[in-house]
Amino acid sequence: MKLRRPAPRRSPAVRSHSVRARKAQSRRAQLRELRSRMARPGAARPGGVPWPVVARSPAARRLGACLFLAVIAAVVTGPSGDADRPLAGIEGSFTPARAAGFAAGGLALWALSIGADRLTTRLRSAGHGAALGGGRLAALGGGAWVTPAGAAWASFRRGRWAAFRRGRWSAPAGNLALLAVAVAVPPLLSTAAQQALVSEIGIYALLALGLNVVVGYAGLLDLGYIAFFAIGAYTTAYVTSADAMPWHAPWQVNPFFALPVALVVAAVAGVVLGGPTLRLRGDYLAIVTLGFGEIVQLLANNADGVTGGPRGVFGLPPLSVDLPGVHYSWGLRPLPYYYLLVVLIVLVMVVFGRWERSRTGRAWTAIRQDEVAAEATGVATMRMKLLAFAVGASVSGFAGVVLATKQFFNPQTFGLQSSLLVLTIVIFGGMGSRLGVVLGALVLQGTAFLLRDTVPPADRYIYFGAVVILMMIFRPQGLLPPRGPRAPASPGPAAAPERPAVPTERAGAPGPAGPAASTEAAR
Amino acid sequence: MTGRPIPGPRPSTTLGPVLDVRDVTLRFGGLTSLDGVSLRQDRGSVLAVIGPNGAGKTSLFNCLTGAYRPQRGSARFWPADDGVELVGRSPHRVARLGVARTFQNIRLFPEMSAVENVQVGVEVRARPGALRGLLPTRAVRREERETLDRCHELLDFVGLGHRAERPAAALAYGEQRRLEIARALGTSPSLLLLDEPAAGATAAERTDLVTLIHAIAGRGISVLLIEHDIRLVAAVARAIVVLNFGRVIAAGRPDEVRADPAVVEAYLGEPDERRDGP
Amino acid sequence: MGSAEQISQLTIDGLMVGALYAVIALGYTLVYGVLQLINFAHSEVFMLGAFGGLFASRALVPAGATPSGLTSAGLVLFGLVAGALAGAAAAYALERCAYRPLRRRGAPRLAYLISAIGASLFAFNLAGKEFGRQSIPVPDLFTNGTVVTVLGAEISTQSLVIACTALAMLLAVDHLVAGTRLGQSVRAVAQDAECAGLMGVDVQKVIVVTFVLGGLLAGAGGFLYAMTFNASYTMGFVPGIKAFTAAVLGGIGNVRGAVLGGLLLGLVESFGGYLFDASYKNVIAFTVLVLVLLVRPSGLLGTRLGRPA
Ligand SMILES: Nc1ncnc2c1ncn2[C@@H]1O[C@H](COP(=O)(O)OP(=O)(O)OP(=O)(O)O)[C@@H](O)[C@H]1O
Ligand SMILES: [Mg+2]
Repeated sequence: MKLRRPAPRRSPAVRSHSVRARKAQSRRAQLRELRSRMARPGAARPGGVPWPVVARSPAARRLGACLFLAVIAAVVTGPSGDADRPLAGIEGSFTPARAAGFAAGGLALWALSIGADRLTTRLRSAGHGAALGGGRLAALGGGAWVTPAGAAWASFRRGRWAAFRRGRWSAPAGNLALLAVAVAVPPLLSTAAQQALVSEIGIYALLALGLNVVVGYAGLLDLGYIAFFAIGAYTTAYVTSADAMPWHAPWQVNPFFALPVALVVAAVAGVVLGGPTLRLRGDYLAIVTLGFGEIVQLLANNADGVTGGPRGVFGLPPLSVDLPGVHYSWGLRPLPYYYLLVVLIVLVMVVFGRWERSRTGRAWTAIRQDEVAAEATGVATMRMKLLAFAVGASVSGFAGVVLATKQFFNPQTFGLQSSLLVLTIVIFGGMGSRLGVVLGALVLQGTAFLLRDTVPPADRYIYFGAVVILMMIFRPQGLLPPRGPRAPASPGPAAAPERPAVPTERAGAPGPAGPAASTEAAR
Repeated sequence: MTGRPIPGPRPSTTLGPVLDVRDVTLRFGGLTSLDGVSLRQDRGSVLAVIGPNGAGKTSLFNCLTGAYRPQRGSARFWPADDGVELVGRSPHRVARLGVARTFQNIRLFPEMSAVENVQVGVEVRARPGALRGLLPTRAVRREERETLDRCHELLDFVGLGHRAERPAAALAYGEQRRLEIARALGTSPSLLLLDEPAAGATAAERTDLVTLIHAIAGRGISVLLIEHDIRLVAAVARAIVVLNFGRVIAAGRPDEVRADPAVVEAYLGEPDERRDGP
Repeated sequence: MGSAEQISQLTIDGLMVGALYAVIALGYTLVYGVLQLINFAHSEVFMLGAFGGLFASRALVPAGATPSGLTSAGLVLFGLVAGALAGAAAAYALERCAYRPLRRRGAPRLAYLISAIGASLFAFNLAGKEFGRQSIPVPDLFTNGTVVTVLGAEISTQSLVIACTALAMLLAVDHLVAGTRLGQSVRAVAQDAECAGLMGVDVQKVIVVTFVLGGLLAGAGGFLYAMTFNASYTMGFVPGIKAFTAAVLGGIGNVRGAVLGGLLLGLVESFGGYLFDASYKNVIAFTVLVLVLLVRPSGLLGTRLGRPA
């Protein structure tokens, strides 16, 4: 008995066209009906007491969810335990004061979410369709905002603000303003903050921009992405220094020339990895790339004779310009590197922005949305996916160069967690949105930096993990989603096609070989 | 929606076959879904493939377009005067050779706008080079404008001009089917494979579809059509091939086929001879 | 290659580890069968199960003492049950928090994977925070010695315990999936969830059951694993990948395939580790994964659920 079997032959009697066409739809409706009937409060459940109506009501469920979130939050923010007293951390999380505080927080969250819903419904019924944002905001404003204010905000959003956002000049103007802030503010910050701006925000923003091509544009999940970062960094070490590594290239070059070298090496590595693996379907690709990342890190760690092993690499020459008449060295201070990163990031954003709207970008989007259809329409899917991989890898290699010239690194720098961190940034910022992922890096890593005294670095990843789950549940499009086709009169997810409740690639039913993307049946 | 020429290069109109399928056999484990299928289509003609559910019609399309690789058989295709073999090529190569298709259950790029959907097809014919789009030179700009013009013309051609900016997923069912046709036409095919384009269509939509297929064929594009509605088939196709259980059981003009006892039996069945599904 | 003794020792060792992989692999396979997605966070379920069993047995065994006889058997059973329950709880929470909301929304496939990655990141770092970041041994529940010698290979008490429990669990699951009503509904959902729903199968329940079942197995397996290799917050990753390899090797979605794949992978690893170097075991397992995916992605027995191939 196979898992996914070809659809059984239907008898010719049911071959009426309208029936065939609407079959799937009606089936789904039936299913929904059946489900709702089964879920109806008080419905007889075999061998069990009927659940109280209250416990099944949406408000009660949401209360449960909010309190659950509060408990989790309490544990996560609570003290740490250790091997000897493993429950000490959890006990310490629920001192009376903390328990009360988090319970109140949970209740407040519940009240807010209920209130926001009510408001939204009222606004909707008042004829202000797309007022969701307004409703939420009004609710956040403390409930003092009454309907007219929310409605006004909503109509503002829909009207002038939207027009402004779509306007011809708004985007450049907004971007220039952001750039001005990015240029003007950092000199005012502390050295520690500048340092974080470089090594935690800037470099990760660059990495996220690269991964965004792979995940956001082409829809390929690459969990070994950080390996290309490592390749870029080690390549820089080989070509710029004669003594930092046990082995080095026959000639040494100015670190600036390491940029193109690393770009090429990382891109080649991307193609080499992608060549055999990109035929695999998404989740298998994820696991294979994850393994690739692990292997690169293992090699960096174990191949002492080539990479210097766990000791790491230091003492690389900083970036410098040595032209006749112009001599400048980036030295050890973070700020010059920061500006270099800003230039690189802007450059990458501009290039990718152009690319995104070109035929290449459209081909990527097509592959992401329906690979079989893209291939059948003549898109060379394999080549385009390889291109995405290579482009992502080369940006990562770029970031590696900056890292290597700026600071010490060792194999630990390139662990799986770093890959996942970049992924988190992309998810948080908005897959496919350049500005989104840069802001994502700024917000996530910036918060982590600001909270560095409260949250130990090792615990950051708890929060990052939580961010990923919460984003996937509540805002899968990310902080600042990419601008898609304008959909008049069909706001939000209503435009999305209805999908079956269980993620079975129904359209491409029985492929002879499970994980291979290209064998997905075309019907 | 009709009468207008299909924008883009016009396929060769010399006489002769456009497609010659010989002895194609496709098996899935123990199930034979195509069993020595042969058929021949004249250039510029409309050929219909009919048959009960599960007869292997879609499988045949999948073999022609490279989605499946048949165990045996060949499919020669003449984009111009020289024939090429389709079997063994990857789907995008087949598409670039000039065989475009639509899917039985619509497969559009749901979040792209209608015009972008068509654009993907049109751009397949654009000049190669992924880096070309990066610099907005004059040539690139002109190319982009021409592409867009062509896309809009194609959308007009299938009657979706007013829907160009809508996301594909927001289109009505019938509109989505027509958008799929426009996308396929975008690749400038000489052979268009339509898999049940009238499924779920209303009577009016069917009439429109007949006109549309005539218009497509009128421009020299050969159409291979899977359709269950024998009246629609009779209205557009000069020839019909009937498949059942993966075999060609009849072929010929619509009236001949309709009178063929084997066909009647395949559709109505003889109770004691009916086979079960796989 | 060494003597016959060595060969049989390597075989025994390989089968032992392989049995553990098989137990974990079942979790991947069951979930894949029903939802057609890889439960990326399954390795964390395994890790949490190990901690559950570890803490339970630590609570009962006083430091320094080594129980014997029936007490040992009882303690092992208790640890297994505790581990299984912890695993089941973790798997349920995972389904509830990371998967169900997405299913409600009808999210695309990528979303599930990402959400599971988030869950994994969350879970193992939280475990690191709560349970400390060094590895912790399970207290001795019995005196570990050589029980029998087969063809020159020594079989320790520990190996015997692992083998017996793993075998019992595998048989139980096979029976459950192939021979009970519950198993029937699991298979029905695996083949066509929508249709199964229309036929009156509670799809939601089946999904939960699948996760919980996988969690029970992984939890108990985690405890067994921790008896040999200690428990730590990062312990899930490597066995997780290997169990996944086993599942793919046997044919993901195929219960007996997972068992076959697990045992086979254990053997390959054991002999490969001997031929090259023990430190290459992970690399070997990983190479197997890549090769299988590239050469025969449907695995040895193909992708079926519950029926003999
Ligand atoms: N990928 C596949 N794996 C296994 N069997 C398949 C596969 N694709 C098609 N089949 C089988 O091949 C046979 C022919 O299927 P096909 O889809 O070609 O029929 P069809 O004539 O298009 O039917 P319909 O009118 O329902 O569209 C069916 O029995 C089907 O189950
Ligand atoms: Mg069909």
